[in-house]
Order: sequence, then structure tokens, then C-alpha cells
Amino acid sequence: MRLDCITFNVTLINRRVRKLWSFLCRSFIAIPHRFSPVLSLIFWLFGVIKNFYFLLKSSFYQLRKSTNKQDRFPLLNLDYVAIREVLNTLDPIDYINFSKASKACRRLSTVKKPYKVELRFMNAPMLWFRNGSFCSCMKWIKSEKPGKFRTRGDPLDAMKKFYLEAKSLMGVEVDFVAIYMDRFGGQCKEVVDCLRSICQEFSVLRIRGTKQRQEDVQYILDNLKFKDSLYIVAKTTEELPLRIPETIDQLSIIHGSWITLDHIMSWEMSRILVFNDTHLTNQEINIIYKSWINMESHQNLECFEINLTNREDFVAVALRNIPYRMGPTIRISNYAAVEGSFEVTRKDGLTASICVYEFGIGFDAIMFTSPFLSHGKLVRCIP
Amino acid sequence: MSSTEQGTSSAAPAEPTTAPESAAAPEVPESFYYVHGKDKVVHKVSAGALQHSALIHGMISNLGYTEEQAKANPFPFENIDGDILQMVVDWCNQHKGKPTPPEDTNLPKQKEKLFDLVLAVNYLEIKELLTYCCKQVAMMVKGKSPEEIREIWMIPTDAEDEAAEKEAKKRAGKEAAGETAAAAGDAK
Repeated sequence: MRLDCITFNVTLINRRVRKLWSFLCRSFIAIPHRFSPVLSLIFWLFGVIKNFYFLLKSSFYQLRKSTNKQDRFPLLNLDYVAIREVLNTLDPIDYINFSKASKACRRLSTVKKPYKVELRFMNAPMLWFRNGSFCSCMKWIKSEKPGKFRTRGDPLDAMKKFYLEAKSLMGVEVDFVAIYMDRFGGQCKEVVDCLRSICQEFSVLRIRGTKQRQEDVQYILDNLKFKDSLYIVAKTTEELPLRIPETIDQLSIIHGSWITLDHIMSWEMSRILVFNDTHLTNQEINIIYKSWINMESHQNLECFEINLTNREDFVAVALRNIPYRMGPTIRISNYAAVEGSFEVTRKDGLTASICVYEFGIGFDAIMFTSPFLSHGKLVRCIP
Repeated sequence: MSSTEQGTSSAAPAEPTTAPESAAAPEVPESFYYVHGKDKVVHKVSAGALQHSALIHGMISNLGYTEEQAKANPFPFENIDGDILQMVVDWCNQHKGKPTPPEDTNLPKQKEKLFDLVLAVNYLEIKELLTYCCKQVAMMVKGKSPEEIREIWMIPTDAEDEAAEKEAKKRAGKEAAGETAAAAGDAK
């Protein structure tokens, strides 16, 4: 009886499990079948929303595009005269960018321009276009994110590439180079090599720096060709004499502790000489003045500035045996004139005014000749 | 100094209303001329103001019109929109006998208008105004990259230029072939 009971229970369970299994099997087939219209509807709705979204997006895009179109200017549809006028008005950097827009733009942009190029090697290399009061600047900073003024590659290479591009387009040339040795430290050779590869010669060289190695400054002077002016505002640790071309037209040396009378006499072709921080005595200054008056040297000299090691006996020693008459004080900005000027006359009748100024913590004597003076007033700035 | 009215280039325009003359009017009465654009609206402009336009100035000097003749024959500039011509006339009047300032801020800001103005000014040969307009056009691309410049000034890419060139060549070839066929037909 008990066994029968157990058998019955097992049979019942078996039957129920089978029923459940068959129900489950039927349900799995039936559910998707029953819900297929609902799912289709959901998918259809999803599709509609998706299409609507794309339509909306494209219409916004079209709208934006048409707005942009209104916001644009068909430059090349203008007459050639007007196109040229626009291009002439462009900033040189925009002009170069315009030339890169297409081959046709490149053809339009190949016209000589009157800009002079200045290269300044500071923290980053900088290129300036100058024409009278106009100037426009470009610089290159190394950065992983390229952009305006930023380059992923070597800034010197980027500057070189840009300059060569500008040169080939506008026929511009380097006129002025300034090397800030403290800020562009350790790369003197690279800078010089870069300059030598892009220009044979330029007009003005300015070197700035403090505690620079003599050989670095000399390397710059020996390897660059500058024809008109040299400004050395660099102090070397050695303070030894620098080799400077004797034919230089304008020479300015601010840290000139190494300068001797012989040096000054050797630069006798120069028109403008400016020296500071020298140890020249008033006797030596007297020799220079007398040499100029007797036309033995410095015949082209128009401006000669030198620091005084002894202000007190300047008149007694530096102007000894030089006939002079007192003239008006010649005023210069940043300089405080100590007294009137001493007017001296050269052998050929050319007159010059010598004036003593307080400048910084010391005194300077400046001799001007007529190109700098008109009716006792300075008409040109000391470079 | 200027006024506008409806009229046509063929018919004599009706008397335009003139603005009051300045207090310090010269003793010799100033001569006036008439111009109209695409919209046939006639603008009365003094000879002094028209001096800015090398084209009109040349025409005036060569024609030697009397006041009546000038009124009867307004200069037609059918290629210039009325509102643009109005702008040009206003500018010429404003700068009559005055040294032109280094900048002009009254130029249209909309690029479409500016484009039409440059075309008109270039055609009328008004050098100072052309310089102002071109400065404004140049300012559009200040500090922009080559790609941005291409976008702003609608410059076709090299590929587009090449495609256009090919298309033009194809069209020219077809036209030449058509002409040859027509000539052969005529000969027959």
C-alpha cells in the first residue's frame, strides 16, 4: 500500500514536471510570437525617432551651412585689381597663410613686398616683419599640441621653413638679428648654423647676455656676416677682447671693460661709436679727440660716446690743448646733461659738440657732428 | 546733397528734391549730375562729390554737359544695385572736398553687401573707398589658418580647381566640335 502510494506520488510529480516542461516549451515559442507586433512597433518607433534625429541633424547642418555661406566672401570672384588691393592690405602672416590655401592662391601671392625681416632668438625664435611703423610678429614654441605659435618639431626648423616660404613669396630678406644668449642658452651653434643656412649677410646684429662664455660670443661674431651695425650688450665671464670687423659702420659695446685706445683707433672707419664700462682715461680720450680734429683718424665719425672714469678732470685733461667755445646744452632723452656743450672744430671746418651727461651711475661724454645736430639741437637719436 | 527718386535712364527724370546747401556755399553755383543703378532710382550728386570716382570724373570731363543735359541723361550703372549705388553716393557726398580718414567704420558688415560694394567701387574707380573696403575684407581672415581662409573666402581646393578646369576643357572641346559640325553643314 505504502509502495503504491509512493509510486503514485512519483508518477504525479513526473506528470507535473512534464506538464510544466511542455508549458515552458510552448511559452517560449508563443511569447515572442504573441509579442512580435509590439516588438515590431517598438522597433518601428525607434527607427522613426532615429530617422527624425538624423533629419533634424542634417537640416540643422544645412541651416548652419547656409548661414556660413552668407558669412563668407567669394574673394576670387572679384576683379583682379580688387583682389590685389585686398592682398596688399593683408598682414604678411595672413598673406603667407593665404598662399597656402591653394595653388591658385600661391600663384596670386608671389609678389615682392617691402618688408624687412627681424629675427630674434629669445626663449623662442621670433620673426618680425617691419615696414616703417608697421610690424607683425610670429614665434615658435615647442609643444605637443600644434597650433598658433606652437610647433611639434624643432622651433628653429619651423622658423627657418616659415622664413624661406616668406622669402620665396614676397622676396623679403633678413635685415636684423638679435641673439639673447641668456634665454636661448647653449644653442648658439644651432642658431648660427640656422642663420647661415638662410641668409648670407644682414645689416644689424645685436648680441645680449650676461656671464656668457667668450668663445660663444666670438663664435657668433666670427660666423655671421653683418655689414652695418653691431651692438654687443653681452658680458663675457673672461672679459677678454673680442675680434670685431674694422669696417663696421656703427659699433656699440656696452660692457667694454676690455676696450683699449688701440681698439678704438682701429675702428676708424665707423660713423657711430658707443662704448660703456671702459677703463679709458681722459688722456686717452684726449688723444682720440685730437686725432679726429687733426683728421688723422675717424674721418666719418658722426657720434662718439664714451664713459668717463674721471668726471672731475674731463675738461682739464680730455680737452687739453683743444680750442673750444661753450655752446648750448644738447638734450637727449634718458640722459641728464651736466653743463653746456664744448664746441670744437675739425681741421676742415667741420664742427662738433661735446657734451657730458649723467647716465645711470656714471658719466658719459658724447661728441656729435652736424648730421646729428641742427642749430644746437639733436635731430637724430643715438642708436 | 543727394536725393533719390524713381525714373528711367531713357526718359528725363523728374526734378529731384535737393538737400539744403551748406551755409558757406561757393559763389559759383555747383554743378550737379545724375546717376542711377539697376533699380532706376536717380541720385543727384554734385560734381565735387563725383570727383572721387575716376570713371565718372572722366565721363564728366569728356562730355561737358550743361545742367539740363545732365538732368536729361543720368549716367546709367545697370550693373550696380540701387542700395549699393546709394551707399557709394552717400560716401562720396560725405567725403566731398575732405581729406579721407585712415579708417571708415560705416562700411556694411554683411559680407554679401560688402562684396557688391567692392565690385561697384572698383568699377567706378573710387580709390579711397576701395582701399577701405579691401581693408575690411582683409580683416576677415586676420589670424586665420589656410583652411579657415579657404572657408571664409570660398577658395576652391586644388582638386576642385582641377575638376573645374577639366570640365571647362571638356565644354570647350564640345563647343569646338559643334562649331565644326555647323561650319561643315553650312558648307554643304
